[in-house]
Amino acid sequence: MLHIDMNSYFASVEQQANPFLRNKPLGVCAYLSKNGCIIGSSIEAKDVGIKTGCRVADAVKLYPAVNLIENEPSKYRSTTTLIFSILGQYTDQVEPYSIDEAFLDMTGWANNFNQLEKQAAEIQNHIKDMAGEWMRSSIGIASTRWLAKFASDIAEPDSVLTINEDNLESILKARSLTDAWGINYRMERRYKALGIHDLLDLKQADPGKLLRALGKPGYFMWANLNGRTIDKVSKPKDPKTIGHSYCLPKKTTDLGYLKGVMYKLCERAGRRLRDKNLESAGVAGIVGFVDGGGYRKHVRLGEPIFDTLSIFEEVDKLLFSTQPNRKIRFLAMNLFSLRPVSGQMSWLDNCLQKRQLAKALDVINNKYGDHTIYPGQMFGMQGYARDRVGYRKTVDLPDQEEITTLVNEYLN
Amino acid sequence: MREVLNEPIEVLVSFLPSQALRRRREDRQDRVESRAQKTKSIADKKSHPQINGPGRYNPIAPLLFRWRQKCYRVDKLNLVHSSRDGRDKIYYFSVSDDANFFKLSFSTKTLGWKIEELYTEA
Repeated sequence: MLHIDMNSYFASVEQQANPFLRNKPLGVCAYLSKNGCIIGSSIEAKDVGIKTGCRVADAVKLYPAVNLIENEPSKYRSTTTLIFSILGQYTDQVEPYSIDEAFLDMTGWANNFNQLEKQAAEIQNHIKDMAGEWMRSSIGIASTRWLAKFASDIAEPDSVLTINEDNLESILKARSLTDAWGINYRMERRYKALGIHDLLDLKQADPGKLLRALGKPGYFMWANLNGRTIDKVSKPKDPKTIGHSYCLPKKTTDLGYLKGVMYKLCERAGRRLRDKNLESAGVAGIVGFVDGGGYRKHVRLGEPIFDTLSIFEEVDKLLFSTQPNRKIRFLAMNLFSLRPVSGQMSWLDNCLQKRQLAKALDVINNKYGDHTIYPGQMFGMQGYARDRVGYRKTVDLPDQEEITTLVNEYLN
Repeated sequence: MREVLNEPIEVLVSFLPSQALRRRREDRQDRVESRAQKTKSIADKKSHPQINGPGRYNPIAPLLFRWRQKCYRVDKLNLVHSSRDGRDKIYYFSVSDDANFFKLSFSTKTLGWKIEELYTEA
């Protein structure tokens, strides 16, 4: 199993495109305003403390000469398409994990770890050859998916790290629990309460004790560290949810403005839903306030929906039924309970007409460009909630049958 | 210094589809051979031809362009990417010479070239 992780991907693509930005601290921002967030920083920027998630104003304080540019999603997506097409030349089992990571199941393409290491080096050179000399990657090689990702996470930039039975314990020794993929600081506290302080302790812990204290996540983490196969490289599936969020440049209680922005988010989510030929039986809306706090509301629908107007109407009922009395800084919406379009007609609603209208609008916007035709409520919203790269991961937990089999295997 | 522009330019391009297709055929042949010999040492597989950079499969590469009555020669093609605006597919060529970076765009709808961005080392 191989896991490839492009190093400082967004910044590397920008430095590849513009050689005058190389070897300099560079931050790729969602927005260039003072409160804009840095979504990708170069290795040089990380060295001066400018990391992903840093605000633009904070980055300039840390290093006044930092180069800041606005992100360009089409550039990163194009480069990702090229890189994944290169990976597809080495194996037919490629699972894109995110825009800059992928798993490769190399079973049948290499006989041992030595051959895999040579292939990994070849993949790195092939990417540099095709995508550009600045496109560096870390590759992790192991017998399981989890260990391969762990290896690439801890590997140095532009290097290959192999984890096998011989070096696993030496790598895990004295390594912080949060270095493991899937353990955050909250989980770390729970492990420390059980007397587990590093990853080697966790590997050598009693799995029964972990199962009783922490449930299945505790057992799965032990199994992952011990090289047991929990999940395999899988093909991308349909998403379980589709949603969009937006940090508002104008913090306000103005319902007209808020509804306009929310309509645009619903339109973008609706387009993605219809592109995948899905319908949704659940809608959620989220609001964040300037002075802190917020709320999330959701509703399960009796009849699935797919057109933008219906989606917006549900979100409107959830979030905007009353005038907000605090300024809002963040809006998000989410569609869940997704399923393929059933074609089931409704006695209560003329869904066929709605479906045909939604499809016709999509055809026009696909042909002539986004926002060629749009509802009046979205007037003036063209510059808001622009296209951004999502950070969605495609990991699925094992299904119920697999969980039961694994747990029974242990107990027996 | 970074400047965002959107001005039409005249471009001289190299258009060598035969070379790009030849490289694509050679790489495909390499992959077929390596799959047929997958039990043998894969490290012995023929390495890719030494044609470097993102221009490997791109049959089009801008060589020279005229902007504001001045000719600029392209020394390096750094990145090629594309985006869609409706049915219009736009190709972006990130090119540079010794002192400047240019982002050029080609629209497949209008068949026109534009200069989108200029970056100059101060």
